[in-house]
Amino acid sequence: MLVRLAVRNLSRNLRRTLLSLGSVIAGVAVIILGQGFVGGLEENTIRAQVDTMSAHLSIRPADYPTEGLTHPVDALVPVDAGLTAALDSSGGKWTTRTLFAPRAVHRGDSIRARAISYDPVRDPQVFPREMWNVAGEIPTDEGVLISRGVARLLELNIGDVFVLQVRTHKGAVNALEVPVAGVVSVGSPIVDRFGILLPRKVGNALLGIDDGLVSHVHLRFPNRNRSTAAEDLTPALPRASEMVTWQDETRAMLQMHQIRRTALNILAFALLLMSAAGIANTILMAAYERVREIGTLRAMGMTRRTVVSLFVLEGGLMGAAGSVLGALIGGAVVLYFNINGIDLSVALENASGGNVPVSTMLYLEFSQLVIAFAMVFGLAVAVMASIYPALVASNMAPADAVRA
Amino acid sequence: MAIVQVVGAWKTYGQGAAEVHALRGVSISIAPGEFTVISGPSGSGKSTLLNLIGCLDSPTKGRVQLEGTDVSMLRGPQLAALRARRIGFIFQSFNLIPVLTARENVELALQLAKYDGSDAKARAEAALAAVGLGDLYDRRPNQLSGGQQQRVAVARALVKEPALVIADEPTANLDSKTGSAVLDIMREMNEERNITFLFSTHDPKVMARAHRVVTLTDGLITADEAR
Repeated sequence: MLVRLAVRNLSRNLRRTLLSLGSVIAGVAVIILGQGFVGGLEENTIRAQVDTMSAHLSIRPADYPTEGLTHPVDALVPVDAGLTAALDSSGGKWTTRTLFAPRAVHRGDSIRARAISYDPVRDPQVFPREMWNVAGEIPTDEGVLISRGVARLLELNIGDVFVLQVRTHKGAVNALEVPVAGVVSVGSPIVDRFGILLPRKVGNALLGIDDGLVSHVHLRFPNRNRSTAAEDLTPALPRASEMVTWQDETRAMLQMHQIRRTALNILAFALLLMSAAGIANTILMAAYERVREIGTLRAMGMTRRTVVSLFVLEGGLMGAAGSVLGALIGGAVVLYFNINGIDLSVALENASGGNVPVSTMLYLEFSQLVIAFAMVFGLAVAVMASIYPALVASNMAPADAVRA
Repeated sequence: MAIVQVVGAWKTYGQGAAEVHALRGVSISIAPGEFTVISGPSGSGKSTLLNLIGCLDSPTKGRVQLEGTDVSMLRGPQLAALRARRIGFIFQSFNLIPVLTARENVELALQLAKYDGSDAKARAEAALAAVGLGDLYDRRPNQLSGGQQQRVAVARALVKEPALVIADEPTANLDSKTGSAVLDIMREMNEERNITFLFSTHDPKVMARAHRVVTLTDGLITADEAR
């Protein structure tokens, strides 16, 4: 009967109830959307870094620069038999790359590019190419693959020939005419804006280095959270080299996301505080409108505690309904963009900061835990907000209330 | 043994210069099965006395006993339990719960009295039938006339078979014909079930039907007549 009474009481002033309900719905939905967005951004950052640049573990020259288009080739990592054996027994797939920053010249225009010299056989095993959008072909021997950004800036098409100028491993100046075998978009601005991908043979010829020298060794494991891989490989690490994990590579960005997450939580909390004020106001008004009714219930033998329960139940029902609806709305939106993603390519193309690891497709993170938390939080806020008006109602003197 | 025993009850509101004595040492005893009217002009202390007897308020001084229990010794939940099981209330403005149907209003009284029988619904319907509302179970108060609402209130007060029914000017908001019909029902319940009724009223018709009329003036009993 108490539940029936609470439900019917809520329907008395439907407009007021719906307004309070709306604020709970908004609060809960914002928590779910915000967390889904930030969680998606985190995963997006990790995926962009892992799938295009670093894989799960990288070995590179010690003190390798991490900012801008700086890719020195004077100090490289020797891939000797010992390292090869350790890599083979690491339990993951591995490949090698040499990054350098050539000047790309075509018909009088030139740009500084980020070139990746790759192993045509091993590279696809470590850096998945399902998301690559390639016009033309991925070269394995001759020719290069240029990014859309380079193609646009230098007005290059498939079959065109342009010049790459570099400082070689030994410090000499070298240049090579290379044909465009294909134009690629890999889904990450790091590569898509200034990237040029060359088969190992072309890269080595340009840089004047032997097969056994590379700037990076990359490993990919079936599970990215494998924690012992770095320790296992440490004994085989060449001198003057360092090992970095995907966590090291993304730490700064993830910390930024953590700040965003905190800011979003504060915003959602503020929204739910407003909901709490709305609910408290709704219940308090209801209590003052129903003074005689409360007096009658008390005269009929309802205890103060039961009066409190009745009003808290009304707040709780509002919170429960708001939480469920908020979770349904927020969850549905997050799930939709979790499956279909949000295409950021246009926004990223116009944005500065090409060094930021971001995938062009943002998939929101759908977490049942976040949804459950948001629902419980919404409900708890509603229940807590209704305690004060419930106490006001229960403290009414029945003798006076009954004749109000 | 008296159902109600009030001994030297004082009720004072306010303090200092604003102090008002609503009751000034009232003593009264009501026997089981009595149909008693408390009368008196407005402000004489009728409602205050009913509040004390109905365990809705406590005296500033003095004692109120219900079925031998000194209610001033009881705490909130115990008083609530006593009201729920042993006292029925009928109010001038009917005081039905507007979101509940007639049957639900009556059932609620049973639930608060912790009536745990599976036939609560049937009992509520029987109580409504007894006051002549057999076909209006599912109507809400706003779908009933004043007289019908007061009958629901009577059914609500009686369904739990209380020792005492307190009725605060129960006919004041009804026309004379309807008021008389409601009064007939209460008188019938009093005679058939020996339920004790205690009224406050100005209505001479109610007083004419009472066993006893107690008159209050300025917080004191000034007359106590048996009829």
